[in-house]
Amino acid sequence: MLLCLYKLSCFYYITIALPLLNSIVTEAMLEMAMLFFISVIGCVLIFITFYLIRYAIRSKIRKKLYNYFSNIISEIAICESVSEIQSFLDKTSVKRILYKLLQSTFCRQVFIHQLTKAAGNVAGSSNENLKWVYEHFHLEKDSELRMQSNRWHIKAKAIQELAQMQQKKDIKKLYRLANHSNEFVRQEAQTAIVKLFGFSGLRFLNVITYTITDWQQFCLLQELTLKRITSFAGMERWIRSSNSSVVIFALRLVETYHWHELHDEVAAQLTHPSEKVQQKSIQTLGEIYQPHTGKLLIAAYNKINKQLQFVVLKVFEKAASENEIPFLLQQLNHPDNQFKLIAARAIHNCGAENRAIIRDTIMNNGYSAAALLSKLLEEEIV
Amino acid sequence: MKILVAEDDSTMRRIIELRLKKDGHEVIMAADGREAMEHINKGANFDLIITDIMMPFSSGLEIIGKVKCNVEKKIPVIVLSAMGQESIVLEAFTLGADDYITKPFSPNELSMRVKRLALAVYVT
Repeated sequence: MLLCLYKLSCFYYITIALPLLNSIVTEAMLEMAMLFFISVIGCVLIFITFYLIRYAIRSKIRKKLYNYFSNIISEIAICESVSEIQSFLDKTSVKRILYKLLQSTFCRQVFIHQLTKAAGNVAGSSNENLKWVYEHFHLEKDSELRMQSNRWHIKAKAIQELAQMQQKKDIKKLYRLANHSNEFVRQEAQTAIVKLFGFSGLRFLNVITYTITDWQQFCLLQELTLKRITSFAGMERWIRSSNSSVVIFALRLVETYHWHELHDEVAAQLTHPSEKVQQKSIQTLGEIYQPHTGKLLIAAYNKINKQLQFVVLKVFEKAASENEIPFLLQQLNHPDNQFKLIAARAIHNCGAENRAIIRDTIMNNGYSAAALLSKLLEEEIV
Repeated sequence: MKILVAEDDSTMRRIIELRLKKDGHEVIMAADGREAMEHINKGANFDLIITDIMMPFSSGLEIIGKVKCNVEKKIPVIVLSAMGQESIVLEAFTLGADDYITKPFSPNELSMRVKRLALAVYVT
């Protein structure tokens, strides 16, 4: 078949296409086309060569600048007072080179990069010194300018710099970027706000329309662990948010900080349209378990899918009380052995005296439970 | 004191060097794990080693293992790392680290810890 097609196309080319092309394209036209393509290739080659030379020169300069700035930053970091930094900067050798270098945008960018990197690694007075230098040379203006760039990676880097150098005055711009269409810009802005303002900075949750990814939620929680939290204002509003990811994040906060006062707000989310929210609210209730939590979970049990039912049993495994034993005994008749096992563990965790109840229930039922029994015996539950 | 500092970040290395020199210590620098191992293998008589964990060629944990193998002289080791996970901290102490500082760190605090460790070694 392929051979036939090939022969047919050859025949078409020789008998029809070639004579037609010869009549249309003249020799002069062919020469022109050749010249055009050669000049295009030449231009591309020249451009690549210039680009590579420029790149090599810049790399070399950058390396030299790294070494020079590294020394300057180290000297500044170990100064014991602002006057000591000032006198170091006033040294003729420093003044002659550093001040001149910082007139160039490229050099300032390298310096900011080095400075923020070092500031991320040092704490205490050394960190304060680096922050002082950043402000002394008005480098925050560079970061602010780059924060307005149209390229997302430049924007994100500038946000990181401002947050690292504790530039709280840029909060308005950061709040706007917290709901930016680009995921990375948004993430950096949100992390920066929490880095600067701690829990109170989370008020961007009131307005964001985009999803907060699990990774971003983890980053925000990580930032919060470094801050002292004095007020949990806004939590009720976030739990009732129309953005499911905000609700999940709020539930994570309740879970992390064991915010028992919000128990009923969390329980209300058991009927949320999103399954993810339902699952998180079940898990959160497990962390802030109260005497009536079991009743609420049992009431919701028959209205939720099998996967969520399993999550409920996992909660009972850790937190069930005597009140839930009748319900858990019913689960020993569940067709799925995993459910039986978790229910048995939950009953056992309510008190070792319940071993007999589990054994009797299993023995009295007609189903084949050899595997389950052996597993329970292994765990010394029966 | 003669101190070996193994740290791959040049700025951090320089900050530590300047801070320790300010206290009157003799500081030998290593830019990676292999360089640090070379210094140790040469038999240089260090009184203290300050090491990062994540470094090219050999990790800080390998350095601790190597140093603590020497039964003749137990050189104290301070770990200075951005890795604050419990498992890594525990591993470092199990291998014999004498102190663990997580980044971001204060150079002044490092200086105090070095002084305290030097005093403890002197007393024993």
